[in-house]
Amino acid sequence: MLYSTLLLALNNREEAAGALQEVFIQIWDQAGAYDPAMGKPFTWALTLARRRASDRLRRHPQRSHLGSASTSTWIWSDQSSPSPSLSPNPSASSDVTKVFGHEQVTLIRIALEELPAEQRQAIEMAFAGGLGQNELADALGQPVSIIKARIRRGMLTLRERLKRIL
Amino acid sequence: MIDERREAQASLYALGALPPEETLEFETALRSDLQLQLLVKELRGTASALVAALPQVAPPASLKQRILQALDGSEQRSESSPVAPPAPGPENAWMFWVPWALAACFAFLCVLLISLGHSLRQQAVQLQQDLNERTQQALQLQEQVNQLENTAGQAATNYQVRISEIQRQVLQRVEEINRQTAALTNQLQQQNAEARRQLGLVQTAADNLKREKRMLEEALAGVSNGDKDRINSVRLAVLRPTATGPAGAIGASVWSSQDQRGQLVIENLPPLGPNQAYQLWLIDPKLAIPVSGGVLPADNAGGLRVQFTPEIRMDGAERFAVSIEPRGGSRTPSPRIVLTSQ
Repeated sequence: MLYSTLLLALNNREEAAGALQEVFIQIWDQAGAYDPAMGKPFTWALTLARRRASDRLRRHPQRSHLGSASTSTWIWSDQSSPSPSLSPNPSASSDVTKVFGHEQVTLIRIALEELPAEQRQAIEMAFAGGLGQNELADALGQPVSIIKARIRRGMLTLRERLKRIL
Repeated sequence: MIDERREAQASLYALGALPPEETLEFETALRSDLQLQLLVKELRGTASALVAALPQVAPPASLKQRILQALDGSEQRSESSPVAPPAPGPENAWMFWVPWALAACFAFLCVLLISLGHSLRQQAVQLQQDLNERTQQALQLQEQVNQLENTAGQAATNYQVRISEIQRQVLQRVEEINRQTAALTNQLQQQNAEARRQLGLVQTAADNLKREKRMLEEALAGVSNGDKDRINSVRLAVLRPTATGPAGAIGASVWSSQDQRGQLVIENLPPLGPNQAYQLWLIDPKLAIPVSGGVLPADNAGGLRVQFTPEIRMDGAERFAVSIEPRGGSRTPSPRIVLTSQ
């Protein structure tokens, strides 16, 4: 799942593999810094992976393919992935269901699909693209305040809908 | 209470989209706000769950080996300063496998923790569902209890009001009955007292009559035969005014035919002129004309009391009359009769 996240953000298998290697080394070196009060171990590892992806994208912004508003709506759709490198893999999907459970994965996808399109788009680009609020505002052509409001409403809605299964 | 600005910052922070300058300020606030910490924890969990919706791609098979080698290199680097470790010789060959063993343990521990976390999360979800159901049931029961209490309270209040109304009506009825009873008792007592008083009067009158009867019987017992004959010959008469006589005048006469004398009492006779006088007449149906009883000497007050004797013997005088005659009297009565007996 960490590899899939990095691959989606970096859109390059070698970049994703290198980033994942750095993430594991960081986990190995900084395991003592993990604070259970701030989330589960997987959440911490995911945060580190996404930060790593953001760092690489800042160094090479031309590699990002999620900085455009027109490319973000397919992210959580297994059927319409535009890139052969992101085609879903059945064995990898089974890893997801091992962690979250098949029913929970379904509920998470339904919750995402039910979000208003503009909220879902902003969350997708922030989560998978590693874009900050200012970059999101530039990419979507909206004021920062609008972006912040969309992400806030979308995340609070998701939190409320997923509260019973997380 | 977390305001919208902090909620937006927490959402961006969980997604890693908060600018560095805001991140410092937010993390400062985060350290002292337990509610904000809880919100960030939940939002991070939400963000991590989004991974489940990503199209999953398996990493290259060689990546695992590369990572393990990199971890081994990292371990060696951390142990190389300040003195480089000795190269693993045949006697230290087991140390070559230590990092791999630690990495395997770490991986196993991660899998174990994830599985344990998943199981605990499912249990927590189930327990939360049970708790919610029990809470809902408790709320429903509490609501039913409240409804029943309200109904019972309303019914009790209605009954109390009804009972109070009935008690008030009963008290009013009892008071009215007591008042009527007292009035009837008072009336009966008054009637009883009146009846007793009248009974006493009647009793007194009866006693008087008995006493008079007894006295009369005693007097009658003491009367001789001669006296009885004299009593039988006495004639009592009341003289009343005629239609032309004085209205207020009245008189009475007692006549004894055995003694051939009588007594006359008259009151309220009006005075007459100097040439006129009242004259008494005795009437016997057997005689053709009345017999004079004498001229009456009336006083100034109109009253007189005289004893009279007729001019001739009268054995059957039954009526008496008074007429106005010339001064000195007449032999026969004039038509001006003013008093007469029946």
